[in-house]
Amino acid sequence: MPDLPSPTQVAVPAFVILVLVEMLISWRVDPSRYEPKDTLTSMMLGTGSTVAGALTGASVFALSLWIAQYQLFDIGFVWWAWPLCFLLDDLAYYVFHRSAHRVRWFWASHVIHHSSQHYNLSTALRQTWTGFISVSFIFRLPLFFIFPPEMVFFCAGLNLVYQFWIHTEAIGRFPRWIEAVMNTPSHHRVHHATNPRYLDKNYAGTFIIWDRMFGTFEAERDEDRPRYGIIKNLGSFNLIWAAIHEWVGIAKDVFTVRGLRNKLGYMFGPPGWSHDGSRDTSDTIKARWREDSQGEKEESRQPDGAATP
Amino acid sequence: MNWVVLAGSIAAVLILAGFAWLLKLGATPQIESEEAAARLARDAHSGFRPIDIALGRDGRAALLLGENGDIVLLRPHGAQIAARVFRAAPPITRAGGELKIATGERMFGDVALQLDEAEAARWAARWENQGGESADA
Ligand SMILES: [Zn+2]
Ligand SMILES: [Zn+2]
Repeated sequence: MPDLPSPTQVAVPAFVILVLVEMLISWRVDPSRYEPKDTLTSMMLGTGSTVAGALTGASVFALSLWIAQYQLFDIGFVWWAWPLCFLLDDLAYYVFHRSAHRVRWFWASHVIHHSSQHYNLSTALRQTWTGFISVSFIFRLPLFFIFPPEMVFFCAGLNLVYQFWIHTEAIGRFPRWIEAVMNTPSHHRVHHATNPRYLDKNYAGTFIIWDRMFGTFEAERDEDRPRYGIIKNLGSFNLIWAAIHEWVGIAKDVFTVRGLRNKLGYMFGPPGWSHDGSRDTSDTIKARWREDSQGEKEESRQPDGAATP
Repeated sequence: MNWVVLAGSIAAVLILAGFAWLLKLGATPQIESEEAAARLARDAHSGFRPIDIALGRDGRAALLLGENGDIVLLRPHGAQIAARVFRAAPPITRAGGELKIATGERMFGDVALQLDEAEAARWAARWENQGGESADA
């Protein structure tokens, strides 16, 4: 068994240098791309995430070893297993990530990554503290039936490192053949945007092919510039609140609402689901937006219909 | 993970955030006009059509009343604007030209809107018609 380093730990110096470089670019081009308090929150969330990962990592690794006893093949560390493992891990990431946006229990942990209204390299470091509670590791478990756990964790680490550099507005678009296959800054800007058109799109980790295959791809448009954050932005730089706010929301909803169905809905329904329809989900937002853009087209054909107060 | 690595990470984080601060990165968001407020409110609440807009004199915050009775509140958050959408009128208090809107969220906080006194009085009166709570402080 090869002695594998942790890709994310090895990459930390590069992360620091690239953040510095991007800050200098912003300073020249558009200072509003960074905000010191936002950057501090993002990077402290990243630091806290490594602590949370260290606390729970051992149990996840033990679980992976236990599953590996039941491996279907004896592939070992043969060279071609590496790219195959990376590819399948990337598919597992897509499934995880899609669920993370569609099921509130998973969203409560993933929302941390989306809670900044900025989109820069420091946003990439805004990582969850509560992945273990939301059991996000279950999506990777099937891989341990095929590949050695060390290989899977190494590929997962590489995937995370890949996703770092795409969190930037400093890069426009790549040649078409790259944008066709790879997840890029442009594709991932769409993922972080709250524009109705862009909600719940581009779940890719490294390869954008999964979104294209499963119908969740949306291209970035120049006339619809991404606005970053979440539907209900925090309006606070508080670290702890960013890390746990959605869990607090779940707890409040589950304790106040009556009926098991409703309680389950608040835990496992889509984010924004409510028992009385008083809140917005990404589906209701998209529906209203479609209706509205339709209405607007019609209105522009008529003389001024503006309402007065 | 050991304590040295953790301390090193925190130090690196503080240095990077300090660098952003030294470069004076960030911005003071300004809501330039009622049109800008309407656009921002629509960005936060798709399909929103404002029928009345209270824009703070300093361009820092705005309160918008929509066609369907929805209400959007805008206020700065760092270099950006953060919004809240209400389906029912949130309680407001007026003191002279200042309207204070209670969001009911401790972490988001209440929002103070600086208006001309007559405008503030008009909004407070409007609030009562709207079925919301309003009080003079
Ligand atoms: Zn996401
Ligand atoms: Zn991201």
